[in-house]
Amino acid sequence: MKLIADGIRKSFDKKEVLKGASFTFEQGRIYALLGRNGSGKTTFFNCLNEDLKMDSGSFCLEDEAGARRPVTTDDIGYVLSTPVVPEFLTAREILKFFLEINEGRIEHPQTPDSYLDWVQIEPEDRNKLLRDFSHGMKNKIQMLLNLIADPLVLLLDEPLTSLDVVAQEEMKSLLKSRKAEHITILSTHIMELALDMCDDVVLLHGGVLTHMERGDMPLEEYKDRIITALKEGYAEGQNA
Amino acid sequence: MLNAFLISRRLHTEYKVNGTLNVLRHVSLLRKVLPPDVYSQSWIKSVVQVFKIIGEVFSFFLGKAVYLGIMVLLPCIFLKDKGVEADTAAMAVHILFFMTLLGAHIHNPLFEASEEMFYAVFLLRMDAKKYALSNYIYFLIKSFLGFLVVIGACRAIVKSFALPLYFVILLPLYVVCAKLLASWLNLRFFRRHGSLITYDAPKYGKLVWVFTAVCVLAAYGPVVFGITLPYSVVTALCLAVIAGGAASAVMLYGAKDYRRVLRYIELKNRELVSDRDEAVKAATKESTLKKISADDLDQDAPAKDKGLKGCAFFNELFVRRHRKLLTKTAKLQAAVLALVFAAAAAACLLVPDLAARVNSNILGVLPIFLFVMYMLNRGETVTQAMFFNCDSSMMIYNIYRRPDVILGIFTERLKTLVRINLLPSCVIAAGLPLVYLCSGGTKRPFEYAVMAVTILAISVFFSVHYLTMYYLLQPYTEGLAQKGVGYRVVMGLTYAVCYAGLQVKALRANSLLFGIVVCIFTVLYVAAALVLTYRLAPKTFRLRR
Repeated sequence: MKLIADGIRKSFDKKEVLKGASFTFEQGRIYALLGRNGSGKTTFFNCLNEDLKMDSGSFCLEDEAGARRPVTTDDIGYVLSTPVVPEFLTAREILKFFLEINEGRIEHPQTPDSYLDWVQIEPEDRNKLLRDFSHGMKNKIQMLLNLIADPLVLLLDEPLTSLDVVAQEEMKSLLKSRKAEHITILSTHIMELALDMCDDVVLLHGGVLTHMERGDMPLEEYKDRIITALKEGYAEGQNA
Repeated sequence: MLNAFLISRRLHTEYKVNGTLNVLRHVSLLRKVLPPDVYSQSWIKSVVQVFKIIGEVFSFFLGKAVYLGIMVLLPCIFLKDKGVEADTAAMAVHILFFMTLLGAHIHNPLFEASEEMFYAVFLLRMDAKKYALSNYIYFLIKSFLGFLVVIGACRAIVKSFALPLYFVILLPLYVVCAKLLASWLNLRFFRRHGSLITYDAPKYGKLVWVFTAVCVLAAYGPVVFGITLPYSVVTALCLAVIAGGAASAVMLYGAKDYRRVLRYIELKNRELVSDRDEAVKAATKESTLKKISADDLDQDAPAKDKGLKGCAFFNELFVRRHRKLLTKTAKLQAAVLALVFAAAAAACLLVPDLAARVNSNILGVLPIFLFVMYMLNRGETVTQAMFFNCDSSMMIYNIYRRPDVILGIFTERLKTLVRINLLPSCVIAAGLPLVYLCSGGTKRPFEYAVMAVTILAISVFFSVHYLTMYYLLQPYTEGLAQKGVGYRVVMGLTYAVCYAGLQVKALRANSLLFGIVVCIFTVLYVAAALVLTYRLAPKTFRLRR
């Protein structure tokens, strides 16, 4: 499957943030969406997730046979940088609820505890209210809920920043192990994360999406190219 | 100090003016007129600022006038009318004396959390003492002038309010000094116990409630029997409080621990809210953001979940964990109403004259209950609690926005909300016919039935109305601010219609018809609301950004 963004435009008042952004994201790859502060990464995600109405353009999915259909919210899982979970439930309860409302939709469903084992939430924490979870633990729950729902497109907004180093590695390998079934787009400011974890780097600058081909380029040179491109994008934006 | 005050006022003004402009820009008609850079256009801001200042002055005097009118003068005039043998002015002074003692504790902003305090002291690092004291002095001057003008005007206008002239100055001074004294006591208490004297203070919170009850009883209790404090005693007590207030002012001026107290207030306030949006959240209704307290949390929930699944399970846990927040007021309303109706029924049995009057008028009050039920209804608070404590986080997950999940939870919530609102409604639905019966009753038994059914129908109507409007016009943003203009308009219209129930006399003359029409309307409205929610909510029930 492919996710095709076609000519996405979005303005806030007079400021045009997305100026016809187009790109084709492919299943089985992890994309790093890099851009400067305010370049429109979150706006792009919000448009894709139908949280914001875009001014023009479209998102669609294309299967191997070339047949296209519009993206629906069912196709998308959105993991926010600040984890948002219902604080009045325990980890077990939120999973029970999630599994029950998705009965028949999840392939090979497991018990709440086996999912919690999977993301290494300790047994003694599972009956605690999510309110009392640490930032990182909440992040794990949020990620887990999105992985259980198993949407085709996974949007991750700065997903690893609040995790400790061990949890970061766990989460990276988890995402990598699941990448074959998903189109994963990860927005980040951390160049190392983008290069270490992602198959492709896509820049969002000047309101458009640009693929940064690496080819055989040495790592340092590739980094320099990205930084230069982002600076140019910023300068263009300032001049526009 | 003056400089600190001017800076904080500038911050206050900027904040309020920008806030107003922001609200105006969300009105689609004005959005086109007000450009995005409106915040930098000084002339527009000046215009808004002038309106704000006029509004502040007006609302300030109006606030004092309303307080004095409703809490002090009206009860006195009413009691005098009922034949209580005491001087109206003496009664008013008596009530004002005790209510001021209470007010000194419950309306005293020196140690109150506010968004502006957070910005000024902790974000912009202003001197805590200078900020707190200068704004407090401003507040006290406003209080003094407000009471001076309003008491003076009342003395001049209301003939029966003929208190000695020196009271026009003594009372405002007493109000201000009582507040100063209370602030000083509060600061001393904080130094000793590490917390402030508030209703929710861990150990002493109950004492504040007792103090409140004592003040209210001391203010109104004796007056009902025509007993008032003599002017000489009030004068002596006021002078004592003024002396205490003056000493407190010196102490407060010398105190150094403002930053520590403000930090405590700020942290306590932050407990209610979790993360970066604390300042924004603090501005929203705190009552709905109450944390789940330890006794609300039922850790054995899985064992007691009655075999519920999916949406029903989810809603059951929400209700159980927020039981106090959701049902406390409704239970209190039911208890008070039960007492009121029992007293009314007893009065009808004991006083035949009253019974006759009640009997001939009781059907006519049915339309008034539209407004009463509107006031009692918990719909808005409950839906707010649903948003703040649940939906604001769950809406992030696309699964939660799937039509079958939205509708599943909507249905469960509707049952919950109807149940909560039926607590007081059932008491009214039983109480009204009971009073009717005790006042002599009617030969047409269907009148009892129409009364009871109308009350229940109105209750169900409001439950459906609030929940449907919440689902169709979801007005809150991620930052928990209320944004939806549509929602506000609908709520305003609801108020207007209910208020009309109070005012339109024709309705009262045709109460039975009114009841029948309300019942039919409720059935139609509920059907229409359910169809609309099922069709539209999957599109409308989402976070505003």
